[in-house]
Amino acid sequence: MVEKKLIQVVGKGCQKCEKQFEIAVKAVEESGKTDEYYVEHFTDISKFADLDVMLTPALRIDGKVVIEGRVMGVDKVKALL
Amino acid sequence: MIHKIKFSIIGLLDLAIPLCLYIENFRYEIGEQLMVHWFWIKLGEVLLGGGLALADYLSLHVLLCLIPAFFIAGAMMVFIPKDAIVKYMGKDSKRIVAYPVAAISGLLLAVCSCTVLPLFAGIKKKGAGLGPAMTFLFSAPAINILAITYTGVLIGMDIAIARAIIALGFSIIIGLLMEVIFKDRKKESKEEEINNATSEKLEENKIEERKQINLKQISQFALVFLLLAIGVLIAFLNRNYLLDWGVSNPSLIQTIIWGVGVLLFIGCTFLIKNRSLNLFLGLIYLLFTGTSQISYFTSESSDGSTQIRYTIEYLKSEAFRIDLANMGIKTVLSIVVAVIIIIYVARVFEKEETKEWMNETWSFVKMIFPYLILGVFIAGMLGELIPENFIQNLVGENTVVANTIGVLFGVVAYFPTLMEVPIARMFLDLGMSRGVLLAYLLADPELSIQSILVTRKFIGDKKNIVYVLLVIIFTVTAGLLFGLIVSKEPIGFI
Repeated sequence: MVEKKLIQVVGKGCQKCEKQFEIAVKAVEESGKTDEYYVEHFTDISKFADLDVMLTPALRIDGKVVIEGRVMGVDKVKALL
Repeated sequence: MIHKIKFSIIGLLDLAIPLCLYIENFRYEIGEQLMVHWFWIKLGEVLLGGGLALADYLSLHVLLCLIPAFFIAGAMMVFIPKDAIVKYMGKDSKRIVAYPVAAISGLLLAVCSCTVLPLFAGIKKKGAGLGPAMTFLFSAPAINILAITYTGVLIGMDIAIARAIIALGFSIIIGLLMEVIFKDRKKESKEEEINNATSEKLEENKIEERKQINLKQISQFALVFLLLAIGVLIAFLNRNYLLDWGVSNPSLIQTIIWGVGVLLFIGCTFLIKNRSLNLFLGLIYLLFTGTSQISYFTSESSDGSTQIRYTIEYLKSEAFRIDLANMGIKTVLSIVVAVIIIIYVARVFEKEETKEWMNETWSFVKMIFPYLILGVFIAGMLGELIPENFIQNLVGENTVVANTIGVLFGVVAYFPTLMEVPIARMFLDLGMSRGVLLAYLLADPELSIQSILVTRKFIGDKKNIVYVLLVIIFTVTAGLLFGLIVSKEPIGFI
């Protein structure tokens, strides 16, 4: 059993963050990598800065900020997995 | 020709006016039947107040300015490279860059309030430090494009511009004061700054040399500058000014100036390669056209200015029809500019980008519009409920106490985005002094009990209290000075 990599959707409160979360989940499911990745919705605003996130919504894959400040489409997320 | 246009527009209106009259008659009938039940009469009046305010809000006048503003906000979300701007507020950025960028980025980045707090925390922890972070926190809610435009059309350009400039200036002062008081910035950065200052000068010299060589750039810059200047000109050139200067046909002059602006914009689309810049120029010019003072028809009670009070009497009067005819012409001018922009976008931008832009714009409309309508309706109803002279006695004069009351009301009362504007308009109609109004408009988006509690988590009690006090002192001062300088009301204490 390999340890799962963490995908974090960082952002709270706005519709775009919800949308990005749905997209991330969908991307993982569609690419069939559900046992490789685990998707988390990170909402604690006071800890955003510790994750190097300034603009929401942001997407972090395995500890690296992939995109900040706008929503990334399903296909693009899939390409990064 | 002009008369033909005027009468066809008036013809359309004849449908709307009987409806309003019917509502009014209905109100009196109810009143006669239920003389004893004054409550119902009052309720009717209150609802009518809300309805009239809503009619005011939905008037062409406001829509002409708000629609371009929504499109600009949407375009900002899509076409402005946010991460590039954030870099200027990074750890190594110089103070002279970080503060102004932090102040202006409220306009460019944080069109949505949910992005303010993360960015604030980010600047403070990982970026340029406490000072610029406070600057950003102060300026962001006050200078967003929708708020400024809306203030401009509903209350007046003087207040809107004062609001923007004061918010920018004060944000930097408050940020610097916070930094001085709490000495958050590390000492090492000072040495760096000296080094940077010299290298900056070198860079500046280089840039200047480049500018001298590059004539094309200068001409482009001049073009952009001219276009914006003409935009400002048509937004402020009132027909009365022109008449004062001895111009016999002011509307013709106004239209010619507007036409020159359109030609300049078309020139920009050919000469300037930067697509986003052109798009923003076009949209901003559209906004100026919407706020412009072009008026072809006049009456005694109206000169096409922004200060219209919507009452039954007004809706019945000739002035209303004349105003509407003027609005109709402004709509035509706006559509001309809009068509040019659409052609440009269709030719230069990819479909996907345009779609994203439209989506952003639509999500803004969905997010903000319901609150706006609700806010206008509530403000209209409150206007009927608040006893006459109450506001005038309390905050009608430009005094320290009145300004403090205005600011404290802004702190205690929490209204969602942009709702403070119709509320402020109601206070103005009820006799609030313009200085106090500005103080209230500055304080309301900055401070609310809710936001004070949230920022406390990020910066701690001590800093939070100092920040709140600074904001209160500065906004009260701003109100006093604005009242003194612009509305020429002497400052009093009580």
